[in-house]
Order: sequence, then structure tokens, then C-alpha cells
Amino acid sequence: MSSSRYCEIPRESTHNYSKTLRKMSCFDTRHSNRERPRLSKNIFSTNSLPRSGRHTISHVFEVTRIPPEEIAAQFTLIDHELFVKIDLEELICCGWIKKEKNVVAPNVVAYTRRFNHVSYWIVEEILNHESTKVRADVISYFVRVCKRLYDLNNLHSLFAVISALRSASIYRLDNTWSFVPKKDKQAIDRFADIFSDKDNWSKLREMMDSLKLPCVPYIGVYLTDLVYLSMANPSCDYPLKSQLLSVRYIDELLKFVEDDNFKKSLLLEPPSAKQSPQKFVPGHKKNSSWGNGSKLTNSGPESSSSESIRNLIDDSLQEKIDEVTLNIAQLPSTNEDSVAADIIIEGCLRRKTLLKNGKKPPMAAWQRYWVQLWGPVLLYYSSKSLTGTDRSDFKLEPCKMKSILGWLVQMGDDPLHPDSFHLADPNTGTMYKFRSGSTPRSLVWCRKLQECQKKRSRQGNLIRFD
Amino acid sequence: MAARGGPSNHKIVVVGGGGVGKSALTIQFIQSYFVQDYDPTIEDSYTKQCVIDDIPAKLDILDTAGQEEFSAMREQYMRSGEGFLLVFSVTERSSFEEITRFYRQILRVKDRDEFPMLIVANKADLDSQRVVGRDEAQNLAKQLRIPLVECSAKLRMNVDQSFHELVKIIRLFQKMERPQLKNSRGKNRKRCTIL
Repeated sequence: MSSSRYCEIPRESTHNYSKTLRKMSCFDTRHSNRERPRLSKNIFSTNSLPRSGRHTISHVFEVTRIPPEEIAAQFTLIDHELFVKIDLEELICCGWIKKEKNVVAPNVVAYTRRFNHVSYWIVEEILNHESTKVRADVISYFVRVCKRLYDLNNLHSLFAVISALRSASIYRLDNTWSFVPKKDKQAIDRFADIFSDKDNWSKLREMMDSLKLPCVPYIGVYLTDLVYLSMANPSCDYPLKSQLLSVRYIDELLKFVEDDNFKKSLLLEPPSAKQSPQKFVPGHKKNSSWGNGSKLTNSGPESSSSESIRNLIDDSLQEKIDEVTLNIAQLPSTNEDSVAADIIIEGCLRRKTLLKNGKKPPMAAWQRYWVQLWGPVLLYYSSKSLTGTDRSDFKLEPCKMKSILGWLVQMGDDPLHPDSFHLADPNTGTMYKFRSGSTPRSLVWCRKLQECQKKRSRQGNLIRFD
Repeated sequence: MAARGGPSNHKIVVVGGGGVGKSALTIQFIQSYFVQDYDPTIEDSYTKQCVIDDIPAKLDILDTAGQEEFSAMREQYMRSGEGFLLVFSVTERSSFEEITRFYRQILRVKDRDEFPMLIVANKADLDSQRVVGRDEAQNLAKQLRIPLVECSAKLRMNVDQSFHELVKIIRLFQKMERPQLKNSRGKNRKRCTIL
């Protein structure tokens, strides 16, 4: 009877066949037995089949009557179907260890479940027999299945079967094992050895490296590797990524960048003809009236300026003496432009408008921005999240750009907000209050803002002077 | 004494639910600092040599972080363990409740009434998110008769201590097992001389 049912199976299409077996694996396999304890109620529910049919089905589904190669083949078909569904994204984000694993990594979870189902089913299949001898036969049968799975490179199910045979419930059945042929026990040991965790699963890794594809892998080891990698390198590509993303220019300022780059280039390797820099820096003679030694040292904290002197000194002493006026003259303008091109300070700030055009605004709330001091200009980036204070929590493109030339900077005196500072435009009567989160940080902001004012006012004097 | 105290190998298995910080605990113990080109696939990624109570020991740590869902293979790897760290997160009640299950499973696999184990209450730094109280954890430890260590893998607090403490328990356990044979042999011999 059972064989007639079995004979039908191969005639079905592969697809239906795998479906059939999936159902089979969910069978209530407690055949030929009435009062057997339910060992794993949830895992192998009888939902897939009507209860009334249990008696006949139990005869149909005598697992040992199915050739082991068929079981192995069907395991492999089912496993393969589930395996190929696993998405790269599920693995990269380590989704299967998260609480919402069923949503973010449903296919990894399904594949893992399949492993458990096969394993628990086999345990149950063995324990369903009361006769020691029959239990031993079922074990031997699954050893044969193991061999087939091994031939098919289905490590997923192979490990599931081995796990079943090595589970506490089966392992302890000494009487049963005494009926299992020595050859089979040795085979189990051999297979179990593949999945030994010794030397960080080296046997399994070696096998995976050397086997000829296709295969259905046991992914557990890789899952562990991924978890450890994400733990050891919390965001391995993040610093570089953010750095690359931060390289960007505002179109309006591109010409300054261009000029600045060229000037930098000239300073690094001065042209052989002494006249040429003058061509490239029109109006530098105006600056020369401003330039003098003491001011140079004061206004030269930027590395570019100090480096430029060094480079020039390195070139030749003669040249330095010849060009000393020229270089000093050039420096302030270089300084100014590098200020324009580089971000002097940036960070997360909260801003509140205290006065707008001389009037107190009807509504004033704290707004969070990522603020960059770009030369004499403040760039505001609006926030993407509610609480984050990292650069990544703010938009990439600025939402506001304000020149703060002529603005007054002052540390706040509010004892409740010791981290606050004020920025006021006396011309329009606008005043903002900023909070940086800490007093030292606010002090740095104030200093940088004031420094930039000083530099600008110097240039302002220069213009008026001319 | 010195001869007996030669370097010993101990296989330590770290168990616990997903997301309790097992991997952080292990990595903190093994690496002690984070290296940039860390490779979890090489053979000795999870071994560490250390000296505990003046006796050197080579610890082989099996942590199946990420494989928690493969529950069917758990018993197989538990079998090889000489000592177990049962890790739970104080911020997650379900992970605490799983401890008893792991405890029973270990005893079942080992077929013993007691075995070297240590409960690790991880994430103790997250005081504000704590849902498993210290008393509660202590009670469970007392009930299961295994020691408890409050630890924070993040702050590297009590990480080494947890592993070292477990090694001490393993040594004690193995000592208790071995001398029984020795003593009985000694007794027999003594009797012989009397006779």
C-alpha cells in the first residue's frame, strides 16, 4: 500500500513533488501508535492533513520505505528554493538577530526554520518507534540519507540530520545505538566532524572552499562571521564614506575654490618667472600696502600660509629675499581665500531668533541645524531626524546661507543655558541665540566667529583705506 | 603542584538569546581592543591564552552569536563545552527567562545534576533601560546554584572576570571529579598496607 503511494510520487512534476514532501515533512508521523507522547507539538502540526486520514497516511508515510536518495533529493529541492530567496540586504544588515527579524530578514529566518524542522522531524521519526531495533534501523536509514546529502553537497540538511542524530534525546539512547552498525556510527562521526566547531569551524570552511558547486550551504557559520564583523567594525566603511560625501562645493563659491586652488598650486611650486604670480593675483599691490611682518604672524594660523613660507624658504634663499615683499603681499589674500574655501568650524547648533529686524518675533522656537562657518558665511543644514546630533542626521544641502560680516558675537550670560552665545547684526537689528550643547564648544564657536570678523574687518579697513 | 599546574585547555561555550551582547562580550575578551582588519574566519579567532591563579590556560571560546535560531544544532555543540557562560541582557526580560531553559538544556546534554556555569548579566551600564533587577537575577542564580556576574561588554566591565571566574569553576569541578578516583585508589592502597 505504502509503496503504491510512493510509486506515484516520481510521476508528479518536480514542483509538485517538492510540495508533497514539504507536506510530508509536516506530517503527523506518529503512525502505528496510539498513546505516544507528543514530542514537538508545534513543529509538526497535522494541519496539512485531515486527522481522519491519519491511519491510512501513517501507512503511506513510512519514511524508511522511501529510498534515501529520494529523501535527500527532495530535501535539497526544498532547501535550494529557500536558499536562493535569501537577499543580500538581509545578510548585510544582520537582520536575523534583530527583533523584527521576520520583517527584515524573512528568508534567512525561513531557511533557518527549515533546518530546525528537518532536524526535529528526524528526532521525532526515530522516537516514534518503540522497538529498539527499529529505532536503530531508522538511524541507519538516516545515515544513508546523510551520504546522499553529502553527495549532493547539501550541507544544510546534512547538518540538520547530524544535529538530530546528535541531539540529547537520541544521543542518550545507548540501547538503540548498540544495534546501530559500527560502520554507520563511524559515518556519523565522520559527518559530524565536518561540522565540528574546532578551530573556528575550520573543517567546514575548508570543505566549502574546496567543494565543487553547486551546493546548498550551511549558513550558520557565515551568520556568526557577519555578526562578529559588524561588531568589530561597527561601520567599517562609514568614515571613508562620510569623508567622500563631505567633499562638495557650493556652486556660487566655486570660483573662490578655483582661485584658491590655483594660488595654492602657485605657492607650492612657484613659477620660474617672477612676474607671473602678479598676473594671477590682480590687485595684490593694494594688499602690499597693508602687509607687514607683525600682521603676518598674527594672521597666519592657517597651515597653508605657514607652509607656503616654508616651501619658499626651501626653494632657495635668493628667491626668498627677492620675493619677500611679494610673498608677504600675497599672503593675506591667500589667507582670505583659503578661509572662504575651508570650513572653519562646524557642528550641531540650536538656534532661536531673539530679534528679527528690531522686533521680537511672535513665535520663537529652538531649531536644530548643522551649522558650518564657511569663510564669513554661516551655512545652515536642516535636520532629518528629531534628536540626532551627528552630521548624518542633517541634510546634505544647506537650507540657509547668511553672511555674518559686521555681526557681533558674544557669549551668553544666561545661567540656565551656559552653553549659549549670541550673534547679532546691528545693521538690521536681528539677533539670534545659539546653543551648542556645551560651554567649551560655545567658546570655540565664539572665538572662531570673532576671528573671522577680525579678518574681515581688516580687509574692510583695507578697502576704505584705498 | 607546579607539574599539575601546567597549561590547560578549556572549552568555554557562550550561550544566550539573540541580541544579548554575546559577541561583544567575546570580542572584548579576546581582542581587548578593536582592530581594524579583524578577521573572524581565521582558526584562532576565538582562542585566548591567559594566566588564572598563576596557572596558564588556553581558552577555546565557542560563541554561536548569529546562529541562535539554529536551535536544533545547539545540543551538539553544547556537548563539547567544559564550562558555560549563560548570558542575558538586563534590558530584555525574555533573554533572562531563557537562562533557565539553557541551564536545563546543558544539564540534559551533559547528563549531570550540576556543571560549571556562570550567569552573566550583560549591559549593566544601561541602568535606565534596566528591566531585570539585581535581586531578581541574584535569586535565580541562588536557585540554580550558579554564580552571577554583572557585566558590561561595552564598558569592558567585568568581562575578563567573567571568563576567569568560569575557568576557576571549571578547575574546581574537574578537581572534584578527578581526586575521587585518586582517593579511592589511595584508600585501597592504605587498606592493603594495613592488611
